[in-house]
Amino acid sequence: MNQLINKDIHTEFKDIINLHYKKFYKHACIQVGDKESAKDIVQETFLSAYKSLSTFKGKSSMETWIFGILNHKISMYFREKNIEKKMIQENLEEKLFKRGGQWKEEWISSNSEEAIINFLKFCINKLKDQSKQVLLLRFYQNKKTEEICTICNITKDNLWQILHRSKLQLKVCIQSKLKVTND
Amino acid sequence: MINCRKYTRYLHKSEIQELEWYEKMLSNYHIMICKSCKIYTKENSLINEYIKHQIEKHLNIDEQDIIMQKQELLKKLKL
Repeated sequence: MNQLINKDIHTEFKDIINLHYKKFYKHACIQVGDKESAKDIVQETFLSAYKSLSTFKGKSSMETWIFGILNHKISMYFREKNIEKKMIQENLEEKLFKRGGQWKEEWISSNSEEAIINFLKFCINKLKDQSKQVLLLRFYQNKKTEEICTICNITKDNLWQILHRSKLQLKVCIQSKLKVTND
Repeated sequence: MINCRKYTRYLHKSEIQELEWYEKMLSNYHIMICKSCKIYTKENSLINEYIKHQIEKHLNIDEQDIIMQKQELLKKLKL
């Protein structure tokens, strides 16, 4: 019976590699911005997951479980490389809004879609790791709120606050870049 | 009546969880009368759409490379 269960788990693991490897690799590429490192991280993720297969309890799907390991490996990569993101911790709301809560005029202007998109990729890469991770999980991977909370080990309230902060950071970054270009 | 700061909080919160009825009502009322927030909401949608559909277009992933990576991994795992 145990042998049968083990066989099923190994088959499922192999199926995930065959069906979803590309998705994992793309996610790593977008996060770390370097294909060679992304490949190493993804391969290491699957090797670690395979070694720990006996600890997989089936609380979430195996794919989600491996995805969690991948995100952990990505965080480790950033820590080891000591990559410092340039985005300074600041009170973004104070920067963007007047005391009464209205937008400050300098941050609102009708920019063309093309102009915004030109700087968007650059600005996403300037985000702090967790902010970027949350954005990508929500909009690129289309993950549900509960799944993102599990992967990032945060509460629902923390999640929307991180997302809120990420969006405001993007706003500041894009608008600043557009201003420099227009000047 | 809410201000723009509160509106943006509700907008981003709605991307994670369902808003309370009064939060929805206040947001809808604000967006009807605030030009700045209309512009921001449009920009925000554009960003979401870009991440969803465009971000991976810049990756240029080689399908043959993916096949080789998979084979390499399965070999390492002896599967």
